[in-house]
Amino acid sequence: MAIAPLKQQVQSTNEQLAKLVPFAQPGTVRRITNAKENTESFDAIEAKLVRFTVHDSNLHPTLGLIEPCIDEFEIWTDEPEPRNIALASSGTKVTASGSNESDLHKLVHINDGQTGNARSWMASTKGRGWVQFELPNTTKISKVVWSRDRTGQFSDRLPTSFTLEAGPASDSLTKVAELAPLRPTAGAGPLSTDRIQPVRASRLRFKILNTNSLEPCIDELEVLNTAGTNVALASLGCKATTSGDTVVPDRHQPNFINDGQYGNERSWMSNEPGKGWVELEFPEPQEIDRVLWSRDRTGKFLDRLPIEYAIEVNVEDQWLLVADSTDRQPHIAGLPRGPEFTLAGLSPADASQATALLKQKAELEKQIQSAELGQQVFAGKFRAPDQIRLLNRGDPEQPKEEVLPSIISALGAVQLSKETPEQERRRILADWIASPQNPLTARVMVNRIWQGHFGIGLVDTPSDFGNNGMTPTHPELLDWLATEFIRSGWSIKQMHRRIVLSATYRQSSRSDASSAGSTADAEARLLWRFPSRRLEAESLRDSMLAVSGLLNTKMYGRGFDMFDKRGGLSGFAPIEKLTAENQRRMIYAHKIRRETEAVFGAFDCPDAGQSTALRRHSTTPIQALNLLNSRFTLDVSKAFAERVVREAGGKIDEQIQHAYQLALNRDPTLDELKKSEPVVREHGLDLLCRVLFNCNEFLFVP
Amino acid sequence: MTPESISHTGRHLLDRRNFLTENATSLGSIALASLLGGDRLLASTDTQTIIDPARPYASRPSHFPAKAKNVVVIFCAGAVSQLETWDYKPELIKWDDKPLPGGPSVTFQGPAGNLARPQYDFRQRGQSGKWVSDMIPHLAELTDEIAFVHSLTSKSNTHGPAENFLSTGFVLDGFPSLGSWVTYALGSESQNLPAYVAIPDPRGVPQNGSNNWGPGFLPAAFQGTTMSSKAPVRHLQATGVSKDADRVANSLLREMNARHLEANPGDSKLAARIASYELAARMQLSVPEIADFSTEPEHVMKMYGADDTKNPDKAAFAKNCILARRLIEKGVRFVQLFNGAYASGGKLNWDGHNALKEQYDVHAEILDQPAAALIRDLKQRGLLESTLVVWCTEFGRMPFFQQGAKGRDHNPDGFTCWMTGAGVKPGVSHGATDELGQKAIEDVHPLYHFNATILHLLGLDYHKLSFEHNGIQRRLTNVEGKIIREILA
Repeated sequence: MAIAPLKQQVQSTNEQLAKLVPFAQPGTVRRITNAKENTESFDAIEAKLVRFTVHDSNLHPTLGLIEPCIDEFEIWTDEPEPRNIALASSGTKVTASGSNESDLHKLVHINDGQTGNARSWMASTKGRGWVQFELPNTTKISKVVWSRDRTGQFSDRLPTSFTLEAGPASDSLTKVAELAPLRPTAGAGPLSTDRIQPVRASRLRFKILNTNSLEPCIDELEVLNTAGTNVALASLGCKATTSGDTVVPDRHQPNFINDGQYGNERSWMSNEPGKGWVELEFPEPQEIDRVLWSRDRTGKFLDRLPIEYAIEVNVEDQWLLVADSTDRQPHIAGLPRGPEFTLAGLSPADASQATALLKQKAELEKQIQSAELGQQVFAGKFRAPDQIRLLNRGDPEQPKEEVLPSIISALGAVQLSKETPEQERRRILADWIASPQNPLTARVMVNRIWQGHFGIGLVDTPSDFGNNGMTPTHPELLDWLATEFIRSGWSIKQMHRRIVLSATYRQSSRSDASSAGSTADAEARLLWRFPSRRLEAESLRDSMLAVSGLLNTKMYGRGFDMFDKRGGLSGFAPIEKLTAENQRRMIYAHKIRRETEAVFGAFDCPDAGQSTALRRHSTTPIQALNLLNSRFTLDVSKAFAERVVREAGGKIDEQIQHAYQLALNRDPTLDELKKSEPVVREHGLDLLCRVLFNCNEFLFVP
Repeated sequence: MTPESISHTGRHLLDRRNFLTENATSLGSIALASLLGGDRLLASTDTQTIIDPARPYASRPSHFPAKAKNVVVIFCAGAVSQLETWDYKPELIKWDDKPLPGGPSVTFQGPAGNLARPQYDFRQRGQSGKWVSDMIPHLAELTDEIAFVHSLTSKSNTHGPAENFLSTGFVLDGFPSLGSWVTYALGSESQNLPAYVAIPDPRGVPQNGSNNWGPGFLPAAFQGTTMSSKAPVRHLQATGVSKDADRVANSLLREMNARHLEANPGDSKLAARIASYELAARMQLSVPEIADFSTEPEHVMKMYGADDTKNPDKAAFAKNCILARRLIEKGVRFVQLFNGAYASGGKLNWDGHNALKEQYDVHAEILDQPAAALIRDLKQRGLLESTLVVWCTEFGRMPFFQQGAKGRDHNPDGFTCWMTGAGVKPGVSHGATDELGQKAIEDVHPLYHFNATILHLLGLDYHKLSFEHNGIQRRLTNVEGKIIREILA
């Protein structure tokens, strides 16, 4: 299914939802409910039923809006010596809109006289729900006390907006207390709407009083009249003036505020951190009822967001405050910005319309999600090939004579005419590359596979088998492997098998200083012993995670981040904290060109700015510092020590033995055991683990 | 020397029948027999640098006797306007606020506006009488010591690629930086500190970040190590581990590695890693010492402006300058001192598109006194006799303002960088831009020439300093290069 039309439908649903918002209540003095205790006192009333309806709740730091909880609800009689008559023991019965029941949370907990999270009621709906108490007799009451967790331990799941009603029967309830719901945080979604009582005005002012960071930015300010027309558009004659601008041509310009185009690259930016204003003057007075504004309607940018603001209209030369952020949920750094839409505060008609729209939106989003999981292809189109010219000294600014598609004469006899279409050129190139008569392809491939196993290829210039390259150390072997590779149907797996089962691969790496090999061929290029080599950056990091038991073997999917951001040009801060994601194999790390990884980059791990056919293996003191002192090493060593204790128990000898086994695949020698024991005793097992991760035996294969 | 440390090209040279004719001038045919069988197989062919894996920073001889031993590069990120600093264009005063006839209608960032006069007054300085701007009064006092090149060109008008071009000789990512080439060739005089130190500006890293000190395809040993007065060398100490525990860890590690080496004799890689931990341990002692400013006399702090409590950015940059001097004193080969951070609408670096004068007032205050003090201090201590100081920026700026703004757009066609110190002819101005300062017209030098000249002063032949990568002998100056002899002493 095509995704674009679905996204368009979501967009139109969002636009309809944007109209169903409560009216702004400027100048609101927010009352913040208290998780420990809230007292609602009211004029005494005869009640048989007491109903507490929760309209909205606070946000959980990571989960966002979740089901509200109440640990105890008390209804106090209006008597010289008031009694809590809500208690089940008094004969009061309680019903609710719905309850999430568990050992901790039960409806009966709400009036059991016991407090704390473990004795609380939880609603079954996110952010909302109601409870109703039926008293044994109609009684005069004047106070309700309720709490989320009277012990003070929990402050999430706290109702922030409610209506309290009481009366003799369900059809004759009186509202005795109310806390109106706050509108969603400014900028909770890409688009913020301020709905106001219709007012006729010729000018409107949007004043920004605070931002979440830096100079405020607004990509579009729209003002709808009662006919639904955006009268702020410059194209309709509306003039915008501002307090001051930061101008970056084609990205931030004052005229972008009402140009009808969205996104950061079509936005206005103030010249002052945290504040600024925009004033709109309409060609003629307009009956206004909505103001729509956004930092970045496309949702990519979340910085520079106005979080405190005021909207004023000019009526007969008087500025009138019509909307502000005082009745919005406060913006709290680090907390989720909350649902961009809530039903709280809507009229019943609007609420039911919104519910239907939300359901429709959820359905559409589900369809988008499943459509996105489908197979995707990169597809290209053929076109007429460009004219290709010889570039003098490789400089694109110095084109010389035209050249025709052909293969270097030493390597073949293919010569095509200028008219050859692109498909034909590609096919001929592919045929030439994969032709069994072309020895280079198979040689280059098997040499790379060999290089992977031995650290260095039979030809040690893997990308250059030409005149400037090295000659092979074992030419017959290279040709035999290449022929076998072609014969096996170019099977890479068969080639791996053939190599690792060979006697050459399975021989020892031991060398003896006095042996003939050591003097004639110290680096074992002729493979008289297995050439030892240092682990590459990725294998080193993976090995440390594997040994410590932290390695996350999840395959496929989006890569994990080594830095705090992906886009941008500079200022990438390394992520040092271990997470489940970054404990995956390093091959899943998202590369930032030009930024080498903070700990393992020093181990010649390329930044991918240029292709690297063969890595250097340099040795530097920075490697030593990184591997000794980085937070990664310290954290992984700690996890390694914990694993050892978990698996080997409390005896130090056995711990050391197990640590050696895990890191080095062998038992410690008696001497090593004797040296390690006091170290572990005095400085802890972490320290030994850190040393093991740094020792040559761990870093070198075999 | 082990066969592995010889590049394939070196071996190839030995294989070729015409080896003798090719090398007859450089080493002489007599040496051949002993070379083939001997230890230092290619050490004297000049084209190859041989790195001892156990001592990558060991001092290595230059190709020919060098004028300069060390380098400090003051890298002003964001493209400093030549017209507000060193390249005086009185014609612009006449043309102020008038359109440039036949000038471009659009430049890098948008439509061009009218010509604009230099935003600072200029006056004649020193014996040379050269006109230098009031924007940088302290540096201006050094005019007689400096060799200016006014006719440089870059291959890119975009900060990232242009910083690449300045630092690596290529506009693409992934090539070794100047400092990496130099330390690869020469090692370092200090065995307790990194050979190559990059000191980022207190306000942040330049647009091109670590590419400016990256090793590219050279061994990672030659990557610039970052440290500054605000941020120490990364991973210098393990947080939360006591000094005592660290000592125990190191000694246990040393014993383990020694035993392992005994069991695997003759593996130079193992010995190299042991040596790298010893150098790391020395760095753990010497780096904190060098970054401890409490030992610097008050009058020196004052001279650099490091005591400026009202301008913390200036004070921090001044401390970076002191740090640069201390590193040079200790024999560090290459110090790259950044002034200016990443693209920020000209707020944090020299990218004056919008409000050039307003922003340059801020940047000049940070740069001027500390940088001038650094040069004076090096001179007072006699270090300037062996130290080359280079001031550079990725490109220049246009003689006209941008439409609707009070700032200048990018201009890669003519801009100024300069050098002073070891081997540099003092008080010369070489090359020129046109009368409006837009294009280099006299003795035009692509940045390749500037970099070739720096190598030359270090006793390095830019033709010979090369490294094989993916089948190509790569050089800092690619297939270009020329020494700007007019600025040599």
